[in-house]
Amino acid sequence: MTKEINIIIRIMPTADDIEVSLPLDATPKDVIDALLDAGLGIPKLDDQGNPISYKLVPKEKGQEIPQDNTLMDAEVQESDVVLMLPMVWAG
Amino acid sequence: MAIQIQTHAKDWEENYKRLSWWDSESVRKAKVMVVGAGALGNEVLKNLALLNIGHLCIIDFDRIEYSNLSRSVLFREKDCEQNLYKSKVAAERIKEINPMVNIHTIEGDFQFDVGHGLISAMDVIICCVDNRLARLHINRKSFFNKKAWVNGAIENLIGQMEVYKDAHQCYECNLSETEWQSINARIGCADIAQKNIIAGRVPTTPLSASIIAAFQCQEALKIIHGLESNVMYDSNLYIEGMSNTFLQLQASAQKENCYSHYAPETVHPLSVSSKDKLEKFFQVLKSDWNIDRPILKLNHNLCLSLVNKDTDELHQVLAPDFGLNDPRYVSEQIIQIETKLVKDMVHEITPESELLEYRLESIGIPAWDILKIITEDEIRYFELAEDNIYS
Repeated sequence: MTKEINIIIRIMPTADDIEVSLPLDATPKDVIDALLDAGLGIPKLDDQGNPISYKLVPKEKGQEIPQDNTLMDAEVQESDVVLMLPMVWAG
Repeated sequence: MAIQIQTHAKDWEENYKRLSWWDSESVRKAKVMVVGAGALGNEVLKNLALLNIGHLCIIDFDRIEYSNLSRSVLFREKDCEQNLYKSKVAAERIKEINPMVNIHTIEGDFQFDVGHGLISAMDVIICCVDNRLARLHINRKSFFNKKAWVNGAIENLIGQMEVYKDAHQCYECNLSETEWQSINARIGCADIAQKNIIAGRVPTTPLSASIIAAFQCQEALKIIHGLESNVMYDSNLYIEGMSNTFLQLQASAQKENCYSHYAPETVHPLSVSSKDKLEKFFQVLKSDWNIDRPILKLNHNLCLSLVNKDTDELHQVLAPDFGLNDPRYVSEQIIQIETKLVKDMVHEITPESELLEYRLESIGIPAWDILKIITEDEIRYFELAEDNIYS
């Protein structure tokens, strides 16, 4: 069974913290999809009905976890704070 | 008593010249393209005018609406009443701020109406658009011409800024699955994009627009000055005003086999304009470059006929696939057809073609473009040098 770690996901822009246990082989897409489907009230769509794109960024490292990496690849550690940032596109 | 009269120096840059790194000549010679003249674009253009950037090129196909006024420092109520183009009005107002700035505007779509030659003449491209598809094309065209581009994006109190350049980071390499979905949805509606049919009104404020535009101009200014090591090529700015979050995120690495990464080694000037006929284009290729059997490879499909799906009626046309609702390419009768099915199309033209009497611009080639020519043993690129507006 894949090892799990406990981390804090900070949902932006509200800065709400969610404590979660995640398998180390999860990719950003796995994590984001699971969070969006978990009934936590994180918006999937913007006001116009466009899907919102999120990126995961470990707060201490300040680098986005690449889409094809796992949490283990990205060296996410127990108790890390990972930011879930909505990407914006308007001008 | 003798009165001493002091005159005020009429030197716009007097203040800036006190900056140790400021180079007046570089700034006056600088060419900056601003794509999108909305909330961000207004702030960027205002800053560039105040900074006395010598040459600005503004791209936007949209007209001013009342809803733009609350976030656009350059627009006035009378502009929307007169249904004026954003790029034209922005150019006028910039001239009021600083008459020394040279301005070129294109009331068109960056993807289809901006030639590669114009992009290659720029020092930097500043992106202020409101969709990801346009950003993708800015990335591809900037990389093709080995130019840096500065992206800005805003929503609510969130702002993002990134600087893209080959060997540093690439917009296309970092697109997520969700972002590709929104791009593909827009590609499916490419012909109606200019009509703004896609719902895209996102709440923005002049606050995040001012902040992000300031950072965009700051990075552009460093690029103009050649201060490459100071440019934020390897880190991205992300701010969120409500939670007071200010992040400088490390840029992600480029991937292999990305469509954006191709750039030609050499581009040859050709004494031809987009207003010239294809016949002249091929003649000059032969006379000046001794190319006998060239194939002109178009970046789009050229439609020759289409069927009205409701009536099965066949219509002869000569229009790029993106221009089937554009009065520059087709008649009002064609535009009125609701469901069009393209029957015949080509994406290559040779000197034996029956289209030689047509002008390059009439088949969807923008002014000052760079064209791909396939010869018997190689691929070569030629610039429509007669369209050069800075020569």
